[in-house]
Amino acid sequence: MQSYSVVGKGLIRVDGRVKATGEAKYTFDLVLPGMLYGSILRSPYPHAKIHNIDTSKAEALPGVKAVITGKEIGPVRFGCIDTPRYPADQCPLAIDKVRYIGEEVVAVAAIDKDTANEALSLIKVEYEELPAVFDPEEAMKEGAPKIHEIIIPTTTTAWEDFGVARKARPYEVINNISNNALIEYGDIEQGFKESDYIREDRFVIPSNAHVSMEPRGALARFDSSGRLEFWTTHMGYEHIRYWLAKVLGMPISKVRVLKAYVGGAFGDSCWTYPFQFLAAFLSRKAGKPVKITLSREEVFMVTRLDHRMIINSKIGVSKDGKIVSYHVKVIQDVGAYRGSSPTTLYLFHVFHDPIYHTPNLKYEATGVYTNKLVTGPRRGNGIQQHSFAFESQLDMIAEHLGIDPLEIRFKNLRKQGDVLSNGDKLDSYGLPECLAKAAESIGWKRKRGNKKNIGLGIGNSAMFCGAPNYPFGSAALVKVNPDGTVTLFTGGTDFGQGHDTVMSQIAAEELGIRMEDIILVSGDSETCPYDIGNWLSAGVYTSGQAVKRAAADAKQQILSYAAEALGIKSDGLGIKDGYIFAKTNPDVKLTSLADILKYSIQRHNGDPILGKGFAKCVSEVEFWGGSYKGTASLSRGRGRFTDAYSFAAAIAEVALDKETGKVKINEIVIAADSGFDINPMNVQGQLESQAVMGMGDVLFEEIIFEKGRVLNSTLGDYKIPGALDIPKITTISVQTNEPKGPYGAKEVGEGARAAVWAAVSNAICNAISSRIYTLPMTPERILEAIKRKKT
Amino acid sequence: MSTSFGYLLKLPKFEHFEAKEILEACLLLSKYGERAKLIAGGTDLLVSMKKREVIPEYLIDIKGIRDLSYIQYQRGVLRIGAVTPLNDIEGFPIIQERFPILASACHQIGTPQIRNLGTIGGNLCNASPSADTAPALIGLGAKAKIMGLKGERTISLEEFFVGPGQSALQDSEILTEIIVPELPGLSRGEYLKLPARTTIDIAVVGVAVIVTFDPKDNKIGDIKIVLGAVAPTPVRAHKAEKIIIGKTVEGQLIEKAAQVAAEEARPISDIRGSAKYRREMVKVLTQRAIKQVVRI
Amino acid sequence: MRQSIRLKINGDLYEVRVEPWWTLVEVIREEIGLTGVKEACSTGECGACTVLLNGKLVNSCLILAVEAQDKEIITIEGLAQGGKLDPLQEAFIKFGAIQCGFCTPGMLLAAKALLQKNPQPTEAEIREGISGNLCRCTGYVKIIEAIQAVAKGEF
Repeated sequence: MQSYSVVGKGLIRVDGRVKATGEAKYTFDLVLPGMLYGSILRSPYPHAKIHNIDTSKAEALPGVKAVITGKEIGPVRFGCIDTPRYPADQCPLAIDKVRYIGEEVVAVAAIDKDTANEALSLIKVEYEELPAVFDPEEAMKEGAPKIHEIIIPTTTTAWEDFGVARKARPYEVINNISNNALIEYGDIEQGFKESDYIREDRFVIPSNAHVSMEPRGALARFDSSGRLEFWTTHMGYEHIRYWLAKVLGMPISKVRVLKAYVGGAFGDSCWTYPFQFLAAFLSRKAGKPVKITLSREEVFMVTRLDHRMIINSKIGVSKDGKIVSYHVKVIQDVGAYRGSSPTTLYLFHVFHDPIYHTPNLKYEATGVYTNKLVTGPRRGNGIQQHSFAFESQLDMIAEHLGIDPLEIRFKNLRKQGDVLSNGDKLDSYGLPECLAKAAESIGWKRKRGNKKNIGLGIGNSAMFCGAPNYPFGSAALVKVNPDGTVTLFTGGTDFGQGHDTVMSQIAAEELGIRMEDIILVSGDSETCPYDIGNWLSAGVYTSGQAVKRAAADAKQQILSYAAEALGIKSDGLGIKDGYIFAKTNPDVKLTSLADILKYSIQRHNGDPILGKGFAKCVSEVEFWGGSYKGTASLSRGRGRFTDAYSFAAAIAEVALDKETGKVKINEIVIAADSGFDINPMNVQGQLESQAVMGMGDVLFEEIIFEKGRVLNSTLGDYKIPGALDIPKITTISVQTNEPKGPYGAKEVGEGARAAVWAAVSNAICNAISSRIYTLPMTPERILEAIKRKKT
Repeated sequence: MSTSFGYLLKLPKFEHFEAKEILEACLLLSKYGERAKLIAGGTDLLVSMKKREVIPEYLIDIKGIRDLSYIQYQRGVLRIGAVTPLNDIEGFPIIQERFPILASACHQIGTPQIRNLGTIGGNLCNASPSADTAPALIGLGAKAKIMGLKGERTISLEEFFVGPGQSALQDSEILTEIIVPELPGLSRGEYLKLPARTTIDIAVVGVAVIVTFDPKDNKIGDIKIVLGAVAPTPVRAHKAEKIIIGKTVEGQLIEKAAQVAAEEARPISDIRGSAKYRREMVKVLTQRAIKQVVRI
Repeated sequence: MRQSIRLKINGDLYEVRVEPWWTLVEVIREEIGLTGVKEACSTGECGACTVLLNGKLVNSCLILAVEAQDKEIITIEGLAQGGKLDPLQEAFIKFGAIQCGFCTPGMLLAAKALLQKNPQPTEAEIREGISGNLCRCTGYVKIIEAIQAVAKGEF
């Protein structure tokens, strides 16, 4: 077992101090000279035609510097998904129609917020209300109101820009269907024939919200040469740049996204929002910087919500509990625009595959437009919905067959080395160990069936480690400084998950220097090289690998010059704490990084020692030369997706007040296989956070809609867990040392929440000996389920 | 979602007056009528204004009126100025000792930050059916002292609540003081709140029970059962009380009284809970509160 | 009509011209430029706008700037003294109690107010003390551990 100096240690965050003193500047805090404030007029109707917009009075208000409508911007579209088959479908401002309450209609920039808000009240919009539809099953029926007709691409798609010579096709929306997926292998009908027991259940899952502490915002500044500087709440600048450039019709090199601290993301703001484009458009028009910040209520009204799904799931098992056949139909209520649905529906299946061995499978999924808020990833993108349904069914199957729910999971888990249906290989697979350790920690054998009024439940999850989707890969640069410190340039975005710290640790470990000697430049699209971003679960896995290689490259240069200078072969040298030593005599400091830099500049004509490193997810997959090789098909499931999966097993113990239906969670144990914990303290923080978030989702978090209107759009009406609500949380790290990960590291921070969903849900249902097929499991629903069982 | 531009969560424009004396506040209220609102802690009012639920043009700030912020205990009678912050009430030693139900009720309102700003008068005058101080105070037989241009009057707190968001204050009247009379010797009370979702949350049901024991035979001399969040105003469960008064308490009697209390509730359904659930919880909480108070 | 008010923040005196409808958090952030205090919900639910007002923990999004005149206000910028971090700040950093950092200023002030009133709090009392400060990133576990460590005198 290798011992490391810097990685594998719970070192403090590099940005801890500035956050603890209040110095850290978030987009919300930024002020530029001459800055204007933007405000957005939003649709009060879920579905309506726009006949006329009169902005004259608003434009005449003293202090108003720019007003923009959809007609002025034109029908240029953006989206999370933009492929030849599913072209982008949303415009920054509605042009002839609005499709959800809160949709952006007019944007205003003024000298202060009061004036901007007053200007909104002076704008007259003539709407003609149209019949709206809110239920996806209703929306698919003949005669339902048509939310979209035909989506005609207005530009090339991202795929085409990256070399796939497939023209974007117009997408005709029939029966409000936005996208489809069909993945199958084996023979499910034969499988069901061979099954000893078959369960068929229906689950309905509502939306919940990210509630990052920083409300979303953007600050845009155009200079007189037409360059755009942009600060925003986001998860990766390549995506932001790409879409800003495209929608604004400017070269991508003229769009610079700069670093601002980000107050939480959780999947929200991984792709672009109208308010971001609007800040840029207003800035260009007014010739001044423009900042748009959303109020908390706007955040609930217009930012993407977690996916609403109706899941019809049929599982066939043998009498000893082995899965034989699995047929699942998912209807996803995507909202007024497609959002991330094609990816989500694909991932629902993809995250099932690495967990359980399933010989026969048919997965049918449909995304359906409705006149509600758009949906997007929220800490898990399909896995949590899948885990809730599948793990609930496993428990019910176990009960019917008289098998221990723990044993039934072990029976169906995969093994290391398995190759999945899409060709991905599980080089590391720690789930069995995770499950065993979680069970031991919570005392599964001792407690199960032995205590009154408590329930135990299990959940499993899987998460990918980056994918070969745009932006495809990451690069990093390392520069040695005259005082022996090293500057690391890596483009990733830290929104709290500790990316900056972990990258610094990797670089320091690889180089052989102290953590405090790393100076980090991150999150700036101009000064940093290319980066995949932190929303494809590729932060550590891909960007970390790029950083490691850049550091290794610099180290190799340093050692080769040191070899020259010292007359010792470079493979006989090492670096520790910034000093070079001979392996035969490790305690003697021979020379330093600072000295080697001087040597390099003096003796090698100014060579500054720059290290370069890069990494791509799934190197076998490529887009180039008009074709693409081996990419995953979102709708067919075939094709390589990722190089590694991380796993989590969660077990929850709950106590129930059977008179009020109130749940007290006694404990949540999460055991996660994250490959190797570069920063154990960080990893613990991620797991603890997911325990609390998952618990909130199961017990009370839900966006309540009424005719397309969000009823609970303030933090008083949408509650998230506070310090008085949290249970005992135990986190366990299982290290499987993924061969392709930097130091063996994999993703952590997104998948475990799904395991917690399933664990807490199953624990509650175990405590009441009844089943609830929807979320959240409110006290009322629990009491009803108890009554149902009695009758 | 808030109406019109409520989604921006910004305060509308208004003029702000700092009243130095009660009379000054009454005069301003009289002058501006419907267009003015009193502001004390502001924890309810400012939120409503940001949501554009109420849009007063004038705010009359009464925080600075010294005569309105105090806690006095004399000869067994507790007098609390209307603009006294909830935290001060919760932490006052005499209240913790002699009127613990009131300290408990104040403690269950919101967060520490809110309790430092919010006042007892604000909690009562906002007249939410789920106001947490109301059931306890009504159970304690509290009275409300009201000052207006026409003079002063004192009414029982039970009469203070007229409808959801509506108090008995007329025209230019201001609530100035809460008077809690001396409790008879052997009295105990409990306020149980069922928060809607998280530990800190609005009540989906609140029940206050105050029992006075007859010193001769330890039967129930008097009982007050007050229900919150299950009717347009906080309400006494009179019928339920009658079942228990003068009796020796035991399990079945308590259950019966709790059932009757549930029938006396008139709850509505909203995003926090259905009427059916609320009614069931009145029974559960009433039963628990009585049992806790009589120590069964 | 803007009026001139005096605000005393972290011991410094500021004179600003404000409208009656401007909240204290808006004025501290935008007129005075101290952006450590954050506005995350605007309705007094999350505690990100927490400041100490005459020693009391309050939500500055629910206080009008004009109401704060002549009162002692402490924001996060006033926690560290002469460049030296407060023990709570050191502990938060060391224990990993900070992730995105947006709730951190308010959370630190709540912890400070708690320990000032109750230097040896139980875990339950710590949770009560920070019950008005929401965090979405950490799950609160390390925040509580950090405060416990300071109470034990480890910093």
